Amino acid sequence: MTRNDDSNATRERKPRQYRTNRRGFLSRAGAAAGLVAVTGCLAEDDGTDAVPAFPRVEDPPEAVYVPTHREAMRVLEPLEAGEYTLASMLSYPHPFWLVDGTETVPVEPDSDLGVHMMFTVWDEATGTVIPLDSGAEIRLERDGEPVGTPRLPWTMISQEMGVHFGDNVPLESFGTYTVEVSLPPLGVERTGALAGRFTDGGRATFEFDYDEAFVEEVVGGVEYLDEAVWGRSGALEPMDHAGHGDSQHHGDDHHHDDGHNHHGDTGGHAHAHVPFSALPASGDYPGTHLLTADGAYPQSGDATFVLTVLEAGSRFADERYLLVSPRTPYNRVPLADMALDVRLERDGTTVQRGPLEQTLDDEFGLHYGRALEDVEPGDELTLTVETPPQVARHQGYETAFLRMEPIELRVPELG
Amino acid sequence: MGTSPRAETQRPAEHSRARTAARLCLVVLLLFGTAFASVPVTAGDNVALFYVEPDEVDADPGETVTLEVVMSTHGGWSGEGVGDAALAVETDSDALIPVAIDPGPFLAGDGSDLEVRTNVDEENASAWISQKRVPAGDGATGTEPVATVTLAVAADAEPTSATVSIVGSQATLVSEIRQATMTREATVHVDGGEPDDASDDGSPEGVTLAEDEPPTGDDADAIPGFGHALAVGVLALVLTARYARTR
Amino acid sequence: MSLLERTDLSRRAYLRTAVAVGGAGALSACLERSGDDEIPRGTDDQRTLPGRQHAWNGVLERDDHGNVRPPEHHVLLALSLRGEPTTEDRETVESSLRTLERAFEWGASGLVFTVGYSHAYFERLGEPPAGVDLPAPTALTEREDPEVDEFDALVHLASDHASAVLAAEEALFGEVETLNGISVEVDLSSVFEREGALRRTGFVGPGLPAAETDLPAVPDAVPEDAPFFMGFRSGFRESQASEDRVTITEGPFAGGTTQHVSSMTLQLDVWFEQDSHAQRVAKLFSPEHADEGLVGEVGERLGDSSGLTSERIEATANDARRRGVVGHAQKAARAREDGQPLLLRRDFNTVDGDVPGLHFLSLQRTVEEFGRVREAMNGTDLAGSGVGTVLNNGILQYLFVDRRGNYLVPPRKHRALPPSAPTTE
Repeated sequence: MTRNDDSNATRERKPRQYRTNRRGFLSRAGAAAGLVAVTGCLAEDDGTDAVPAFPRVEDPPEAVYVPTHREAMRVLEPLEAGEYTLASMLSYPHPFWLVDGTETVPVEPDSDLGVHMMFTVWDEATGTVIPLDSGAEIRLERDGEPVGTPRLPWTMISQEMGVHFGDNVPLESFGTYTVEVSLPPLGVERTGALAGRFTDGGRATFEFDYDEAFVEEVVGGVEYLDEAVWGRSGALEPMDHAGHGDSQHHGDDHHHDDGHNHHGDTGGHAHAHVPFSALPASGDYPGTHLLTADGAYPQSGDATFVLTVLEAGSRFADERYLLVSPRTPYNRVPLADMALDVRLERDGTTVQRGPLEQTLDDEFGLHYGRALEDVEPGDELTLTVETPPQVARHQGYETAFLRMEPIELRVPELG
Repeated sequence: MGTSPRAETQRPAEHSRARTAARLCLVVLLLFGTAFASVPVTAGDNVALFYVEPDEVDADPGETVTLEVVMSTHGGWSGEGVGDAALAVETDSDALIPVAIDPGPFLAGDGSDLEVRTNVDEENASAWISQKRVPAGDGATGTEPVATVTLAVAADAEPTSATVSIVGSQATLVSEIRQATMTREATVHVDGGEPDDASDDGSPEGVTLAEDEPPTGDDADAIPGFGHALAVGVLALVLTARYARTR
Repeated sequence: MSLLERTDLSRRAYLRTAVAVGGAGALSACLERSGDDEIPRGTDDQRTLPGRQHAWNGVLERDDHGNVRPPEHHVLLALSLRGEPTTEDRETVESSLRTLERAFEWGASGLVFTVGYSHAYFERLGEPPAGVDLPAPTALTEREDPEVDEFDALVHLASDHASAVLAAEEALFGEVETLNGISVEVDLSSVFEREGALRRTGFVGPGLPAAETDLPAVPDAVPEDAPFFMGFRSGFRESQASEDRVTITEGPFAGGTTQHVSSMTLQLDVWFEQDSHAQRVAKLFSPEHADEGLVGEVGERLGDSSGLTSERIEATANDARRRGVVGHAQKAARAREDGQPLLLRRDFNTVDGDVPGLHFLSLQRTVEEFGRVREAMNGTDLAGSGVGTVLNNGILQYLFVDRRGNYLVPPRKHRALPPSAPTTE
């Protein structure tokens, strides 16, 4: 055992590079069997619960659940990119899940070197967070040289962050990186104040320092929750994006159109005001709401569905309009990239059937809609989820919104 | 009433003499450690766990209790191990005073030295230890004691139940990237003291649990504020600051 | 893979690097290492050569399923005219090209090549090519912002011998005195300037992509036997247009074809390390291919066809809604006419700039047909109906188009600096 002072030596050194050799890994047979042996052994020996190799929620419910921890991240100043406003948030590389049909595909980082890079994109004028896959593209540079190949981050949902674009971006060493983000024109149907907007793309560039201080901040800031709540039905509350990881949170209602404009705010103090993609509360939707027999909003796959029939002549259609707003429980995060189909039956005969169109509205956010030519009280309405939301998931959302049973409702007296 | 047999037999000097069963486990762990660390699709957290063992122990006034802080980590995503680790423990009772903190075998490795710094602050009932493997090599992974904490039970202690918590913890991979950490605490029952069962079953701050939701199935009307304290993170920073001062 | 195969692979990877580097040094390194036996000489008799420059299929090998096996090494030379083309220049160009034909047998064991002319070239002449719509290249998706090829001509050299493509390139610019034993009398250097920065190179062949995993952007997970970076076979007979289908049938350029070259960077980290094999199959072929295991590890279960039945092609929109993913091949096949593909792909892998990519070289009768296929591949019509603009919408998420160029590849008789309306003799 020695004691000495290694002074600043570590500060100068760059992180060592580790390149994964998956072929090598895969060739080591019997790994799974080994894992079982280890787990069993530990449990037997110390009499306490086995310590998992990767602490995780065992057997989570097929519902939104409380994850193991609260993520910490560095929030950078919002930027304008054409009509879009975006804020980037940086954390450490961590697992997430892709969705393939009704299955999930876990994604794990290859290396601890790098960042989990996230973007919230919104319309500053209306405060609407853009919850859709629109092909945001990122390119990294360091000292003017490209780093890796460009990438299109995934559309993701997380309990703390709501809808965002994100991906693990491997970096080989500490340094200052420049990121160019390109956003294409918005491909989705837009209504209200968003109609006719976002027809052009936008581009923004920012820099970040990947260094020890950053790692301290985002890894050191991780908060593990009491293990008693892991995996219970519930969710983390949305985070408030106070800038630069400072722990000052302001409790104001931060997800609506407060019209704040922080651009040009270069006064050194970071106060990134990033909206959270919460949909309006169910009660804020006009029209005749379709509820279950016991008067509740219908649910499927742990998502809550607000279904409302708007009167003819609304700004959505000349006829009556069916507006369907699926959202996560607790945090009201919109569920994008679903395929929904509606069928109306009267006396056992189908009177209308067809797909709903995904639409982004400044007032009602992301929803799925369709004009109803012929609807009467007493009609049986069946909403079928042909494809569950294909958005990627952070921990706590990956088991929900996958197996989604059809919703059957009776149309009440129409207002 | 005495201490538990395990606590009695675990003395700092005996750390290198690990129990046979634990040894056996360790062998299995080392054999398969690298392999399972790199098998993809576990989708768990990359985190180092620190826990106090045993997690419950009985002690009499005037006695000395020795607890182990066990560290468990699979290392980084690309298989690299931990090169240095630090932790701070604290007790919540005057009845239990830390008197020593010593390194365990976790970071010890063949052909490498261990740089150790420790501090015991009896006044504040806390102690910390930092250890660094030199050279770091591939670092350490697995599950083994990383420190031993010796606590003195005050001779005049009233029956009580004291918590020994890990208030700061840090694990740095040999790639010099920090690992996230989580901790579990232990309880020392002094002179037959029972824990006050004021366990709060409510939601932790910043978490909404389903049972707290209105039963209508409707979504909540308001987004609750965000006001949790980053307790662990803050204490880790405190630890870092203390560590820096000793240099 | 046997040791012998591995040794062979490392030799081929070395040669690949030589082609990418180019120049006299690379050529001599290549000649030392290649172990090439004699490369067969060509001919002086133009009548024995096909009238179509793009008539390669007849001389390329085929696999057991009748799929054409593309040459292993490729170079694209970007050429800019030094001045307005003269009759003398035409003779220089024709003679220079004939030197290549004399030196190397027409085929993969010798050399195949084409010369194409750009929109910019015909602009320079003041008249568009007669009977051919050759638009200036533009962006073909909302997301891309490509550089466009604005030089005059593009030479595509291809061979199984790295030394043949390198030596041919050197000969075209008078850097060597002999080519495969043939004396080089004339070269292009008085007529054209090489756009060195736009020189593009590449390779196709099982094992070659996986030999590039030393590059940071090429993950180790690239399958060992894959001929293309995306990890699967491609260029199935059934999904390729015939040479007849892509040949211009009328006007003075009858017998020629149009060529679109898009150069793209591939995002392979995400493709191989985040998506699962089943997702890759679904996104590249169709979800049914994934669900029914039709493809195999690298496409070995597919014979001469990508397995795109008309039902699977018609199911595209349905797959988006019901399955949440559509395949790239499935989408693009929607542009087929009477079940026949419109494009003849001669694309190849690249690591130009040390990042993995694809030079997507495609021949078709009209450039407009390329645009139609690309539009079908964009799948904009499917976005919002179970798949996103990019998400699960084929492989759009992994392709980043950097350059586009459109060319007219005239028939052989007009390949040397053709006027806008050559007279047919």
